[in-house]
Amino acid sequence: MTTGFQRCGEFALALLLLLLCAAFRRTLEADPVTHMLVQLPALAWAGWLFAGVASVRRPRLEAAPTNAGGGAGLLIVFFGIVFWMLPRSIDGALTSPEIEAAKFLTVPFLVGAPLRLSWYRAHPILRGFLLSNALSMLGVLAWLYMAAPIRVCNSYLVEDQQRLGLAFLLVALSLAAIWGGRLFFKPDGGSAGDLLPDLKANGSTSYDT
Amino acid sequence: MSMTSTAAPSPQTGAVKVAMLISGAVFVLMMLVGVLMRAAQGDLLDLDPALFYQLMTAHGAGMVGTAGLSGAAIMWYFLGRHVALTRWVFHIFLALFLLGVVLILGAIFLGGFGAGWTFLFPLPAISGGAWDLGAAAAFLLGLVSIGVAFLLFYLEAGRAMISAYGGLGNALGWPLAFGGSTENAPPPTIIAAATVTVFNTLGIVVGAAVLVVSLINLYLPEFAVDALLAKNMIFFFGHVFINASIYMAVIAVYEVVPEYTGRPWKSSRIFALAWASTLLFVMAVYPHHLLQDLVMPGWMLIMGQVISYLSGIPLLAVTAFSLIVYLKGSDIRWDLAAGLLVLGVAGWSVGSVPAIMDGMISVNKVMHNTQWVPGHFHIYLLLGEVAMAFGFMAWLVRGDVAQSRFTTLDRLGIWVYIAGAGGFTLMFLISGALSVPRRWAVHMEDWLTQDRIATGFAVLAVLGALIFVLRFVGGLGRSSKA
Amino acid sequence: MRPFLAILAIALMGVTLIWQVTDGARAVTAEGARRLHAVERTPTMPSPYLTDMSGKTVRLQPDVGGVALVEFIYTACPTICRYAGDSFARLKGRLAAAGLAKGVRMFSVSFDPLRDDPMALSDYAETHGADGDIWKVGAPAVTDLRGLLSGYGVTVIADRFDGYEHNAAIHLIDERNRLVGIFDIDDIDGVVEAIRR
Ligand code: HEM
Repeated sequence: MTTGFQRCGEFALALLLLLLCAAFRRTLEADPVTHMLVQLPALAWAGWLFAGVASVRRPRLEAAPTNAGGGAGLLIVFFGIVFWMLPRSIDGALTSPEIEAAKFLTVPFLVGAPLRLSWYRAHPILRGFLLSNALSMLGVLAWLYMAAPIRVCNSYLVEDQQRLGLAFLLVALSLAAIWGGRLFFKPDGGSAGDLLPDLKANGSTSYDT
Repeated sequence: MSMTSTAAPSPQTGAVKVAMLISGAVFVLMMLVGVLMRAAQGDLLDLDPALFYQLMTAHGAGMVGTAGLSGAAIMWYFLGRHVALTRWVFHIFLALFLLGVVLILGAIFLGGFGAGWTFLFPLPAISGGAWDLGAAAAFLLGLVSIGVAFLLFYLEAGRAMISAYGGLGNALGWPLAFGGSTENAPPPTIIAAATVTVFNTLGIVVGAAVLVVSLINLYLPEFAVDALLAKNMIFFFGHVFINASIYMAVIAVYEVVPEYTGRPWKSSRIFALAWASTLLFVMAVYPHHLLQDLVMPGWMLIMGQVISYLSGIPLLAVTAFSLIVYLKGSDIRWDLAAGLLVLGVAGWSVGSVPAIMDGMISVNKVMHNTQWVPGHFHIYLLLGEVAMAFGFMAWLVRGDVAQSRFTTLDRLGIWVYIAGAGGFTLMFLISGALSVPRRWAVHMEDWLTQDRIATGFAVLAVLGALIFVLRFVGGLGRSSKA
Repeated sequence: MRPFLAILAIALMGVTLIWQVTDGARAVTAEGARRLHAVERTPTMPSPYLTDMSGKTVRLQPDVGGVALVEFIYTACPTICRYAGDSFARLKGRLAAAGLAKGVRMFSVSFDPLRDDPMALSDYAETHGADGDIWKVGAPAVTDLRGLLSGYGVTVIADRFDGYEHNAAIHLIDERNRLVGIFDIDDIDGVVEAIRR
């Protein structure tokens, strides 16, 4: 159970993340690795935390019938991620203030927040499917960026692009190791039937049926 | 064994029968395609080379896919005896699988796609005008669809086993293998299913990445990717997948043979260790294929091959040896199912001998693309996996065990099949030893005699297979009762 | 029913959005979009004055009734700009051979005006055989640089060796100073073909 104190902490952390991302905008965005793998995930995390806090105050948010099974929310997340994976969008964020502003709004609220509101409602098979796909796609990006003879972002050096590819590969391998490891060794034995349920903040393993 | 378990998991007999019916039909059909190819090589038949390669693509993709399908159906059926599976997953699996088949067949026969089932990068994109982009994309999308089907299948299998056994480690039998603890040891079916689930899920994740990269490359050629890396990943993926189909099919041996011998097949420590070593072997080769530098020295290629060939040996040895022990001294009443299942283990064993020879003596043969290679994999597929699948089918419709008989037709079927498949594969090996290259549509004058003899044997094998499938169709109303 | 409708609606909107922002799934990179827009929207390009290799002032625009080919370089460039210079030289030969040279002006424009004084520019011109007549090598005033680059959509970023990395290409400008085509720097055939039309 989340306590009020914890909730405040999460809210503060989310704000702090947003602020840090904005304050160190230039530094983070100077390098594609920190842009893609630090700033964007941090923004999404902020949205995740906001949604968690909000749904404690308004439980209806988490139980919205429109989002039964989490499908609708996860689809929003999907398109949000697809949009921000387009090299065009990343280039745009660097050259146009409007797109940059859109990034600070959409990544938290169209990726992080709906993910938080939908993930635990999704069927374990859907979750497993999405996680495996995330691994595959990270691999695809890694491969493309390491091997593509063209520069995908005008704003970044080819060399940085290749470093980004390698970083994607490392992230994919680490995630595979972490997720796989959890499935191998379940400390709490019984409830491991849901693929990776223990991500859930309040520990319940239920999902919409 | 928990056949009486209170959780009452129950196999999905109906859906599994449908899957096996599809498998049997496709096996026979693709075997006919094989006969056509062999006849064309023997100049008994005039096939346009372009058509030959389309047929070869269909044969390869169709056979590998169907081996996977039949193996998966066997695994699903027997897994359902031990853990509670979500039924609709199997329906989605079948639907996606069929969708993939339709896409692939369309790509080949409507679009003229003929790059071979291994979709060797960058072949799909380079057609010399024989097929267009759409055909290549449809072929790749078909593979994606089948990949997704298997992914869902393994996710559900994994989920069910994790919740029943508390972690994959337990389901794999590691406490038994490494700690010798027989307490709560999972039955052989679970150990086998868990092993396959782990490495095939990984394989699919990697395979999906290759497929998506190939698709991107089709439409955005400026994203050229490294062909050698793609090739290694595809080969490895294909190898793991086809081996997995045998590992799934052998579950039928573990579950059905005890019904004949009256002795349950138990998970011994050696058994668990054999499966663990197979898993570890396969996993050891993964990073090697993923993380290798862009240019890979030849010896690493060879090592990779050798390790993946050897990976199944301990498992095979334990299975074959246990089978002999179980059979010896039990007054088994033979019938079609028992005969084919035992044949499957024998064929699997025999088929790995040339593979071991590849690995240990004449590595060159692996590298040099002779018919030796189709020789060894046709033995362990035709006489191994496919025989097990036919055996499972016969068992499914066997009806009451007391009334089950080994009819003359059954005996005829088995012997014709053994003679045909044995002779046919032997001819591949002979041709291979005489350096006849594989994947040639038109053969030289000197090779024609071998090709023609092989064609004759192939016809016999198809006849045997036809008998098995017709027996299955005839018995579809019945279900097996122990 | 409700979740199903929601999913359908989101899928529709999502696909539309991605379709829109990729110009109908045709351009996923900024460079791809720039090239596509050149052909489809023919935007008008800025035409600032340049200081050329002989110190004279010329305007970055085609002659009346002619076309211009523009590429961006910096003379200290060790790699791609040399290549660009070579391909401009070959292009000049090809155009002359095809009898198309008359109405064509070629500009190698430096985006490094601080370092690229007329001396440096004329070195570059000499190395690559720019004649100063059909083919001029020039640099804009520092104050015009920004507008020029953003007008063309050229992004220049510093690399780690005191040089720059930039999206190198050959830009085709029509008689009304509109950008009508962008070509890879080695796509000489494409350029000749486009001018012929
Ligand atoms: C009577 C049965 C069969 C016949 C007559 C047959 C015939 C053939 C022939 C002639 C080839 C081409 C060999 C060459 O490269 O020159 C071939 C390739 C192949 N066969 Fe079979 N086959 C049969 C059964 C099977 C089975 C049961 C499987 C798998 C379950 C299988 C899987 C393959 C594969 C994967 C290839 C390689 C295709 C390629 O090189 O792309 N075949 N077969």
